[in-house]
Amino acid sequence: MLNILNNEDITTLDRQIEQLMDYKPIPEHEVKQLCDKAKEILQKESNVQPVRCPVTVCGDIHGQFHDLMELFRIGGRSPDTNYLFMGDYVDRGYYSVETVTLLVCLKVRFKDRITILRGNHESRQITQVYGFYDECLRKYGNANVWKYFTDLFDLLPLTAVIEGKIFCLHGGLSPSLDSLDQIKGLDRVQEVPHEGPMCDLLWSDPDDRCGWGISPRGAGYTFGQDISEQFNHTNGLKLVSRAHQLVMNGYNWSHDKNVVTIFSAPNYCYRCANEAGIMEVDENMNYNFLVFDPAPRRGEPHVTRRTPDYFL
Amino acid sequence: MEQESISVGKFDFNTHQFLIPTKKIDDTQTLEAFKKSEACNELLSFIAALTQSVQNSRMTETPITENLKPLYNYLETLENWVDEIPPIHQPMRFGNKAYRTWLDKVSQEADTMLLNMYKIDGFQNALAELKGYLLDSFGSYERLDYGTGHELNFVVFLLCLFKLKLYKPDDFKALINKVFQRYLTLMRKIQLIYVLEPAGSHGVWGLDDYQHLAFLFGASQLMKNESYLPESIHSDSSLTKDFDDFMYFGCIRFIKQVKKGVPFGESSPMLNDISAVPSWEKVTTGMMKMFQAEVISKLPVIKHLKFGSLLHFN
Repeated sequence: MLNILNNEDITTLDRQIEQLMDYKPIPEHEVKQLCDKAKEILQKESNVQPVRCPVTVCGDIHGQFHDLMELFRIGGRSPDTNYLFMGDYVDRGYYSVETVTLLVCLKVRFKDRITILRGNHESRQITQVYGFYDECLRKYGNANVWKYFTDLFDLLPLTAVIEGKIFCLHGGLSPSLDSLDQIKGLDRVQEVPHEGPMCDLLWSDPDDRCGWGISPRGAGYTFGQDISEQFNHTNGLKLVSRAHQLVMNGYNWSHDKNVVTIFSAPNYCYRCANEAGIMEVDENMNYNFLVFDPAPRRGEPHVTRRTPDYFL
Repeated sequence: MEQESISVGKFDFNTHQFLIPTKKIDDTQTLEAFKKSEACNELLSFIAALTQSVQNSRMTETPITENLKPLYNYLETLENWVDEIPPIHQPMRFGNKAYRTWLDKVSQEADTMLLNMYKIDGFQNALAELKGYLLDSFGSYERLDYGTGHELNFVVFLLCLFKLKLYKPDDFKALINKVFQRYLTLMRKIQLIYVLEPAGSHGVWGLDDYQHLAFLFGASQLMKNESYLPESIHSDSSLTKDFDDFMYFGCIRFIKQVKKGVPFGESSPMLNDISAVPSWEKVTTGMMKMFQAEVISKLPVIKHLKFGSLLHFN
């Protein structure tokens, strides 16, 4: 496979990764270059990106960068451990910029060792409501970095499948999609639509009730055990692995182990007291869950004050 | 004792055509139409009048009024029910399912309770419309979550009662300082006991996971206050001393209790920023502007608002 990185690129990326690990965002022009490189890589990936085991599967991060560092301590550093992230890197947390920049750096640096899927928050509309836009303004003084990233989000793959057996995505199933081949046929390079199959993959949730239901989220659907069983059977899968919902114990089985929910942001929003979870899939396709709490905090954050316009 | 509140207004419950509230905003066009509508104007004017009514006031020094006693007592009853329905021990994704038992009770008893509160000819005709807001004020049954949208539903419920002439502008101060405060303490108890997920939270980039209007009313209470400036929120002794007098302090104190082990500037950067604003007047006007921009004007938020005959929008 053609490697698009030269030695200078690698040196730059390694420096950026080190800087980010120290909670320091990289300059705006470097973000632009990074996103341009990432686009080249992501546009070659499939809507159903094939992934080899062993790999560690992770759920929502939502800008909780301290906890992402803890995740790498628990699960092993990238690229020593292969990772598959199922979206929702940004919004809500204080460090969405650092989180998404680091994950994209790792993707560009070690593209075959890390897979990053799209979550419902990797969208222009949602990030303008739930914080990433405001955070970019605060940390860079303008919206350019927000624009580079949200343009990149359009290229993120929607789903992945590990060794043809574990189907990974952010939200859930869609009444318009029975097979992986149908997903491969979607035109994904666009803002997340308000409805339709692409929207459903990023928004749906499993439910105790059978069949399809209207989602209280106002987007996507709820789907029952009958739907998950049929989908897994039709596509020769043994498991749907998804994120998108807060779970108290880091991971949560549903639909008689046809579906697992993984959520990787511990003590979500600093108040939910939930554990975070990640799923290790080994070279024999056995899986094992690791759960963790927030790491004890050391030192003060790099907090700056800026009076919001409403209060001027 | 026969309630005097009946004499408050002369709303004709028998001829008015009540409606079950439904969602009407589903795209940017309907949102723009809503922002120019009478319904939006009415809602914002109501909130502005409530804000104005509590300027420079202390909650413990505000007496409850006769017209509001039924509502105040009702919230107290709801709080007692929380004590009677403890959280259950069973595997769950998140949130305690005992919350549903509590909300089932609120829902089942709502007609009887409301009819007892307002013994007025024809009042039963208003039940379905009022319940459309009341039962959405305490969080989501299905999702086991709570957020600023539910807080807004409670305020719309209060607006409906006002439009039904069940209380007067003279009652506004007690409505916020007593009834709304009672609602806040009920919701804090529910959050702590049943562990509801933050609904549609903006995380650290919002004011707070759960409330917005509480900060608006709370800032107004502190206008012209001679002891406290916006930066007083960093003084834990001030918060402890006066949290039951000033809603704003109560909110900050609750955040600090829940979000432990993290610097306030990281968990609540907005409130931290606002603490540098020089006066409570500026904080109050800012909170109102922010409410209009972040709640009324944001489609993913406001699309959940429902309309009926009292808050009417087509």
